[in-house]
Amino acid sequence: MGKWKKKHLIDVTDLSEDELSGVLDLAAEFKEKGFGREPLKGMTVANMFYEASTRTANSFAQAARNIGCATLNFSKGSSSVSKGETLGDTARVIEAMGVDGFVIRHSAPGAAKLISAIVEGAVANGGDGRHAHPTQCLLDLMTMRGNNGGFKGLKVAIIGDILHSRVARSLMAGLGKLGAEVAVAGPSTMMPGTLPDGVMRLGGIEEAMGWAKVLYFLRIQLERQGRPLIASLREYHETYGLTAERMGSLKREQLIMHPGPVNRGVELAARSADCGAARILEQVANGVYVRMAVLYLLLSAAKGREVSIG
Amino acid sequence: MADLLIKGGRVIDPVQGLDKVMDLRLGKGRVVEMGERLAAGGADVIDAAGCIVAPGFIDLHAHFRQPGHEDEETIASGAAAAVKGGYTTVCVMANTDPAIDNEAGVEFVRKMADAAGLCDVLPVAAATLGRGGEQITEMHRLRKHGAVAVSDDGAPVRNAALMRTILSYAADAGLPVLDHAEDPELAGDGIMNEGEVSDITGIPGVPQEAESVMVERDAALAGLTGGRLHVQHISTGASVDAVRRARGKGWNVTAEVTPHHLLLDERKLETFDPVYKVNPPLRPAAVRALLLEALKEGVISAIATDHAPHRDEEKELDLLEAPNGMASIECAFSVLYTGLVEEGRLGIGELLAALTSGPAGVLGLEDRGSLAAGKRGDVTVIDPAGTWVVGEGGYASRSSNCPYAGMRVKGVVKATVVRGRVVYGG
Ligand SMILES: [Zn+2]
Repeated sequence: MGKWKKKHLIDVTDLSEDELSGVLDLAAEFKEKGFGREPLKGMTVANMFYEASTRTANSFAQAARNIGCATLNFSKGSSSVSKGETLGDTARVIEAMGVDGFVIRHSAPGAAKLISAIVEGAVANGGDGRHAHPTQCLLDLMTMRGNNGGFKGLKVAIIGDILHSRVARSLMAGLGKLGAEVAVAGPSTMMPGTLPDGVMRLGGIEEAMGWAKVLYFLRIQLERQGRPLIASLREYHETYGLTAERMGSLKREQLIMHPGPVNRGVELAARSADCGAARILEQVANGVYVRMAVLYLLLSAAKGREVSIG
Repeated sequence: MADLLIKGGRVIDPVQGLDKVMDLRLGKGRVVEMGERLAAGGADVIDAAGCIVAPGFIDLHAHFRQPGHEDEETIASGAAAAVKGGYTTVCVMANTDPAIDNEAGVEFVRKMADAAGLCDVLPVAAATLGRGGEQITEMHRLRKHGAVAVSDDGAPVRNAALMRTILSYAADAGLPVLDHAEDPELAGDGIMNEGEVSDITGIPGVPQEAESVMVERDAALAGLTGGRLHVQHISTGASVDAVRRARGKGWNVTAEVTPHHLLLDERKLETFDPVYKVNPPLRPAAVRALLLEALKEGVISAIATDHAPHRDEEKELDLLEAPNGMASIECAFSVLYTGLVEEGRLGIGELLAALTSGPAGVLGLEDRGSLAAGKRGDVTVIDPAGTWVVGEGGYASRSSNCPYAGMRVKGVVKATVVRGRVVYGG
């Protein structure tokens, strides 16, 4: 049993094992019993989305409303996020409107950290460049825990573009912290030179399927084709995708996860996203609970209210 | 103007192999003599007891931003920062707006420097018009009007055939080519060294080979043309190997290293602080050690600051948008002295050579870089025991993007003398 003290969530690496479990427990409580706590009435969360992401933005907005907060939405191209203003200026302006918490999604690694050093309010990183995506990690952990019970001995294979993925970076860190076994597979053109301690590289998808209980497929960024790292999407599907044929050879206990949105026919065969092994919609649902828990804890800490965790 | 007598200092002149407590007399802008207990006569006197008396520092690589970005630096503010750092000669790069690519630009830089009246500011002209990488500049004219070298610094020369032409043509004009060696495609969207830290942080990485393949290419072209190639801000072991090999073949190739590549490493980027964003990027600690070895060996013959001032509010830009560069000219000696000499990793004579005779040799500046009689009266007096905090009390530069801000350092520039005249301290 401890008290939650942090008002910023930049990456899961900032959280102790107890804090990680604490967020997951709180999210599970919200999922099972609904939000039975005193709503954070009168508080406002600003969603600053410099990168297009309807999904994450909506999930955060829904989460904020569920815990009693109002939301303000700023997206790239809206007048408040204007050219010539530094990120710091924009954050100050938004804070001056009476905002208590910030969710920021940005293409620059370190963007959330930069804002957290400037504003008084709470800051949740909604994804910063290739660096980190802590709430995605937390919702993935929640989904894995819900399906597996715990992390001891859980084998997770992350498949795809590890090098350019904040999802992979945060997930490797979070799973490592909780004691799961983690491996990666993907084209060498999409692999970092060094992997975190304890993370192994598998030879390919067949090896991953033979080894892992959870097969976590990363979304291929189609828009990265300006600097091509793979020959074609069809070859990627054949080499690293969950083809219809591979789907047929899945073992009963194996799970398919994906951060979404799925490129059907690329990472996953057209039908496999809907198969019994897929936990993709469950991930989306858990995303709201996890973000409720994160916003609730961060905003409470920012206002000096004590919340017990663990 | 009265003579200047610098009394009782430890005079170190690497060229003459000199390290001895003596007096030094300057007159008519030149070094007159040195010896023990020289009579003052009517000379002004600087008491240099306990201080090091060295040839004035020469910086081969600075950005003074004028014309075009006077909010970041001007030739006058840059020169003020330079003399505060003990520099008596500074070469300024041509990546201004407009670029210094014709004789009017070169004359402008010299005129502004004269008006400032602090240190010697030597223009490096662009190698191609507008630094556009297409049409070479009028290098004979540029030299006549005062350019000491050509460089498209900030932008690499992508086209190998053009680089061949530049080296060949500049050699005819008697100018060295200062080379920002970088393969832009290989560097891609990278903003830090590619390696362990970029893998962990997700900050886009630049492989060391983005530099070294270009150093290999340009060294080969120096061999082909007989041109005079100087590699700017060298930052990898493979680049050093390429320079060493080229020199072994008798080709005209030299290299400079920056203070930050000797003192800082890629781990600084774990903070995501844009003050550590620089091109070429900070490398792993092991490479830092290699560069120091190459400096001691003589493969690298100069330390050049690559002083690159940026507006303060740019610190609040995100890491992708933030500009490259560090402003360091006013603390370069002190951070080097503290980090290398005080730590026993580099001799004071070696450091001073890299700041004086080394860079003079790169540009063939025969009138400076030594305290021999008849040389320019450019002298830097340093109190090696004094300490100060970088940035405390502000900067002479218009910018404060200094990665050493807040560091307590040893080595205080007590006086900077240009052509026998005290331009800083005293
Ligand atoms: Zn450069």
